[in-house]
Parts: sequence; structure tokens; C-alpha cells
Amino acid sequence: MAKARTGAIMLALPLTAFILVTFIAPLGSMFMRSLYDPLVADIMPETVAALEEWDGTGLPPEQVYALAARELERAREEKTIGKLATRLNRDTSGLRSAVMRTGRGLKRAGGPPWSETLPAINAAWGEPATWQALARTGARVTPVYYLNAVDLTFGSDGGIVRQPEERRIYTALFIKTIRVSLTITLLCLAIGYPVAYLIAHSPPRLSRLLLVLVLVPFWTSLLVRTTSWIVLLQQQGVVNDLLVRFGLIPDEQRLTMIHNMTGTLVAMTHVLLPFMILPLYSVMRGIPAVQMQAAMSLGASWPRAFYRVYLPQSLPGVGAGCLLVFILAIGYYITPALVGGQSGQLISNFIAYHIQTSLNWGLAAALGCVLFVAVLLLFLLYDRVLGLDRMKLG
Amino acid sequence: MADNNNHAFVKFSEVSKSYDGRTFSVMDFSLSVKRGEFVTLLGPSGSGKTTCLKMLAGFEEPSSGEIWLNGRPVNQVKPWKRNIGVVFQHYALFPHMTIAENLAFPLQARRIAGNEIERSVMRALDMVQLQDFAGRRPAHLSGGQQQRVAIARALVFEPDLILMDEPLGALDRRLREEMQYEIRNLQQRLDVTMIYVTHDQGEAMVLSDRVAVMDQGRICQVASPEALYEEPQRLFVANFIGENNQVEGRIVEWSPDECRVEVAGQTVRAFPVAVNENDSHTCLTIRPERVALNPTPDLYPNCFEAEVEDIIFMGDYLRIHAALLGHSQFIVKIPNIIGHGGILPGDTVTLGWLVTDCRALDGGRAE
Ligand SMILES: Nc1ncnc2c1ncn2[C@@H]1O[C@H](COP(=O)(O)OP(=O)(O)OP(=O)(O)O)[C@@H](O)[C@H]1O
Ligand SMILES: [Mg+2]
Repeated sequence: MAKARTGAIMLALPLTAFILVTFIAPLGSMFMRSLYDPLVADIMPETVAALEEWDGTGLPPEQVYALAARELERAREEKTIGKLATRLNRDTSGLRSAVMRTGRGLKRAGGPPWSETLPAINAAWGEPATWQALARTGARVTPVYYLNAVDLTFGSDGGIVRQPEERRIYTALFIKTIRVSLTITLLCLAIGYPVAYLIAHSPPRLSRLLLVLVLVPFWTSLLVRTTSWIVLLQQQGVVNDLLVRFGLIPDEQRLTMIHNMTGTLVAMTHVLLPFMILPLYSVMRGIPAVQMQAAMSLGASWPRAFYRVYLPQSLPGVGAGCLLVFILAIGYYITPALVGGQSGQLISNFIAYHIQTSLNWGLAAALGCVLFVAVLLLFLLYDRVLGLDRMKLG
Repeated sequence: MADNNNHAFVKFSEVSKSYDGRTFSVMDFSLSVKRGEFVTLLGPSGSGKTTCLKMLAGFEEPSSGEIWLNGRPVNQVKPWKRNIGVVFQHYALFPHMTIAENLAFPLQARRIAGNEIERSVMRALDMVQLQDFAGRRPAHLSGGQQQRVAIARALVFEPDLILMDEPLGALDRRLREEMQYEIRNLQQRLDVTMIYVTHDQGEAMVLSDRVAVMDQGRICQVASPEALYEEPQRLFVANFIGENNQVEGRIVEWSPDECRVEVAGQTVRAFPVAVNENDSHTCLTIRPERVALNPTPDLYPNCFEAEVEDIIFMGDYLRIHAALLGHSQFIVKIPNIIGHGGILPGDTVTLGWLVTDCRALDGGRAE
């Protein structure tokens, strides 16, 4: 008995390790990164420690200036000053050049009193805001990325305030992502339900053919499918050509259907459609044809029989399909990146931007975590309302 | 107007059905059912019984022929306009509704008032003794209870005609027998017309006023259970209903009342049922219980020597397997009465039967 159990655990060990390394660990490190940012505290430990004594009003005492000058000098020698400048600039714009200039200036500068020398090199050191920024970013554990992820930030007095107008983009982006995902889910449902019904209740040969037609795109590379939409939808593309050919639109007014929200909607609906059809099909296949016959023999017309008998029994499939498509859509990255243009970008594209381009991994991690929690909440809500155990994924 | 009792309430006239356009699942099917009658379609698997019910219920359209219901042709009538109660093989209860909701469904579809529905549902539950189960889901009922619900649901809207497709197929034997009597009682009490499908001949015998035996999409014979057993018109029916000994032979002499058939060099006197003077071959059928053991030769025109192969004690009767007329495994059933003991395998006995119990049917192999 116990031996068998141990054996089973041993067998599951490689998988457990695999999940740990490829899933739990990255997730955990991402979560860490969204809260824990030791950069400033590592580069300027003594200054940060000294600033903790400071009351945050006016300018810090000479002793703090001296520590800051020494540590900035060392950072320049160790070539970490660039990172420091970037990090500070993210908190208060303008600090990048201030820090870099100070680094260069320190070489030629005189000695104490540093509370005069530093502001002489760069005026920023005469501003209380600079020291407040240093104190803020010096905290190793910081909620600032989460604040940023929902368009908040720390004000100059240390309180939480909204981001300046032009930097408030993430809340709107989250809402837009959810709205787009919902739209895609509904589109998939509207297209997928009749298709799944046909596959489930056609004669075997037709049903097999339809199923293959659904699966072939599923097996085709995502990139190919997405780019083929560009061929179809672009201004000189097939759809526009046809519309012009049939005189539905004048040649000079060709529709813009790609590299905008339309492109994202069309391509993503297409890409995610199998994820709606397959769970629906697997549930519908389990509903015997005799159910509809029974309902009709009892006096219900076809629409009534469908609504009262078929639809309720297919709901587990609807729930599973919608949940699957919605969750996939909300985190989808490649399709909007390829065909979404400016207006068709979703939250995941911004996460990718912060990871790859702006290198603001803290913010990327925070955005990712917010998305993760949102999906988790949705999952729990679904479980509450419909019950996960009733869901059938095929 | 159309309610007099002589006129056929349900009528199939030369109905054929092919699903694929090549093979026929039902061929030239003609059948009339009177109001209040209990008619069973009996036949082996794949003989087209369900297809007939589906056409009558409106789920399938006949490829040719016409179905009449209460004097009106119904080929073009939608299933939900036919007012036929159907009990399906696997019940087809709606799993997402409670028992009460299942029963209310046909009434709601007919837009009957709420309190009226409630009363009808309770009455129907009463009828099948399931009052306490109104709030349960079908999955939480036993097979027999689900069966009862299915029957109640088919009856609750008071249809004129009820179709049942092997409704007892999934039940164990005891329950099946119990339900057979319940169904028969209900049908007689409510005086509805019933068309019932089964491949169990015993069930067909117990329940029906008349039985239509089907084979490969065609009707072989329609008759009362008794007539089917006593006077099968076709070899298929003779074999399908009850047990029969089957002996092939060559006709040597034929008259309308009696024919002489040569079997293994001996002459058997038989009653010609499905053979005429032009036929040269026939298949004789003799019921095992109509064979007499060591009979008085004057009374039995057919008497032959036989060798006992095997004796099986069945309780109320003895089952003897014997070899005679060149056939082995000829079955004889002897009532377990004092005086018939003492026969052993290997003994030679005389077996005899009457001319009328030896029916000359179709199917003799031409050589
Ligand atoms: N929907 C269908 N499509 C094609 N062929 C069918 C269909 N339904 C039945 N058949 C064929 O028609 C023939 C008769 O079938 P049917 O279901 O009427 O038989 P049955 O007498 O009810 O048999 P069983 O006792 O097994 O239920 C069978 O050969 C079957 O394969
Ligand atoms: Mg059948």
C-alpha cells in the first residue's frame, strides 16, 4: 500500500519538478518583482539609511549630502549609475539627466560642504522633491508598481495621488481589454454554437468533415493564420477588392480593416473559435437526439423544444467555452501585436513592451499580477455561479 | 365524426422508408389499429420497429405511402401537432428538470393555466405512485421509477394515442413483469390506443390485443397472440414465437386439407398452411408440447421411432431431445406427471403427433 503510494509520488516527481521550474518559479519571481525593488537601496545603502531619519521636509542635513556624494561617485566608478538614473527618472521625470550629470560633475568638483557642492553641480539637489524621490525609491518593498498599474502614484507629499492626465493609460486599457475580450467571446459563441450543433447532430460523414474543418486551422501555425488575415483585410486585400468589384464601396474609400481594432477582433475571433467549438461540441454530443424528439412529441414546437430542453443542457459547454475563450483573449499577445496596429493593442502588449523595450519589469510584473488576479476572480465567480465541476472541456 | 369504433384510428398504408435511398428499413408496411386497441410490433433487432414509430410520431417522413391518424393523413403534420404520447427506449426524461417539471412540460406547451397544470401533474404522479418524488431530478430515481415517470409524462396531456418503444428493455426481469401488468392496466383503465414495440415475444403475448411480427422491414403476420402461436402462417413467425421443431421434406401428395411429405424415407402427414400443389418442398413445424410419447397409434396418424439423446428435468416438465426422421435434437416436452419416469438416454421410444399440429410452411430448401 505505502509502497504503491511512494511509487506513485516518485512517478509524479518529474512533472512536479517541471511545473515548479516552468510555472510556479516564474510566477513567483514575477510576483516578487512587482513588490520588491532593491536597486536604489543596493546602490546607495547609506544615503537611503540616513534618509530614513530625515523628516521629509525641506532639505536633508549636510551629513546626508556627504553620503550621497560618496555613493554617487562609487556608482559612477562601478558603472551602476545609469540604472540608478533610470530608476529615479521613472519616479520623477528629469532625474535621469540630473543624476548622470552629477556623476560626471563629481570628478571635477571640489570637496565639502557637499550641501553646496552638489546643488552647484546640478540644481536638482537643491530641491526637496529630489531627496523625497530618493527616500521613496530607497524602500526595498514598494507598492508603487501596483499604484502605477492602476494609474496612481505617490505625490510630492508622500500621499497617493492620481497619475498626471497624460500618463493615465492602464485603467482604461484594462477596461478596454475586458471589453474586447467579452466581444470576442460573444462573437465566438454566436458563430461557434451553430457550428458545434451542426457537428454534433449531422450524419457521421458530414460531422467528421466539419470537425476536420474546425481542427485544421487549429493545427496551423498561429502566425500563418494571423498573417493570412492581413492578406484578406488590408486595403489592397481580397475583401476590399471584392467590395470594390461589386461596387459596394468606391475604390478611393477602401475600408481600413487591419492594424486597428477591427483587425484584432476579426483575427482573434477566428483564432479562438476552436476553443469555443470543441467544448460545446463535446457537451452537445452528449445530448441525445431523442431529447428534442421527446420535447416535440410532448407538444413543443422546435424553437420551444430547443429553448427549454436543448439550450439548458448545452449550458455547461457554453460556460466552458466562454470561460476558455475569455481567459485566452484577455491575455492574448501575438495577434493584437501583428494586426492590432495602434488602437488594437491590449494589456498584454503593454506588458510585453515593458519587459522588452522600456525594461520596467516591476511595472510589467504588477500589470501581469493584476491581470492574473482578475482572471482568478472570474474563475471563482464562475465556480460560484455555475460550478466548475459542471464544466466540460471535452 | 370519425369516432366510430370500426374505423381505423391509426392506419399505415403501404409505407416504405429508406434512410440512404438504397436499402429499405421499412417496406410496404400496412397496418390498421382500432381505437382503444393495444397493438405490438414484434421483431428482431433492426427489423424496422422503431422506424415505424418514428414515422408515426413525425420524427421521420415516409419515403412513400401514407400514414393516417384519426381519418386524416399526417405525413405533412409537424410532430408537435400530432398529440401522440411517446415513451422512449431510454425514457428521454429531461435531466435538467425535476419530475414535476418534466410532467408539466407538455401542459405548459399547450398553454394550460398554472393551477390546472399543478392538479394534472399531481394526478399523473398519483397514477404511477410517485407522489413523493415530484421535486427530484430524474438522475436520482431508479430505473423503474424513471420508467413510470416517462409513462406518466406521455399520459399527462391525455393523448389519444400512445407509442412505446421497448420501454422495459433496461429493467430487470422481475420489474419488467410488474411493469407489464401496470402498463396493461393503465391502458385498459384510460382506454387509450397503444402501439408498443418490443423484441421480447413473451412481453408481446402478455400485453397485446394483436401482435404484428416484423422481419427485415416487412410485416410477416398480424394476429392475436393466440393465433400467432397456434396458427403461424410463415416459418419466421413459427420460429420467432415460442419453440418449434423444424423438419424439412419433399411434398409427395397435396390436397387442401392434408399433404404427405417425405422425410428421410418416411412419410409424414401434415396440414398445408403455406404450401400449394405446385410446391415441392416444405418445412414442417411441430410444437414440442404437442408431441406425444409412446401414444396409441390409432389416434396419432404420425408415429415414428425415435432414439432418446438427452433428458433434462425442468421442474414442471421434462425436456427430451431425440433423434428421429434423420433429425437430431428433436424436442419433446412432457408434463411431469407420474408414469413418465424411467426413460433413459439411448432408449428407443415412439413419438406421435396429429396432422393439424404438424404445419407445412414455406422455406423448404429446393434441391
Ligand atoms: N437514422 C438512421 N439512419 C440510417 N439508418 C437507420 C437509421 N435508423 C435506423 N436505421 C436502419 O434502419 C433499420 C431499422 O432500424 P430500426 O431502428 O427501426 O430497428 P428496430 O426494429 O427498432 O431495432 P431494435 O430492436 O434494435 O431497436 C436498421 O437496419 C438501421 O440500421
Ligand atoms: Mg428500436
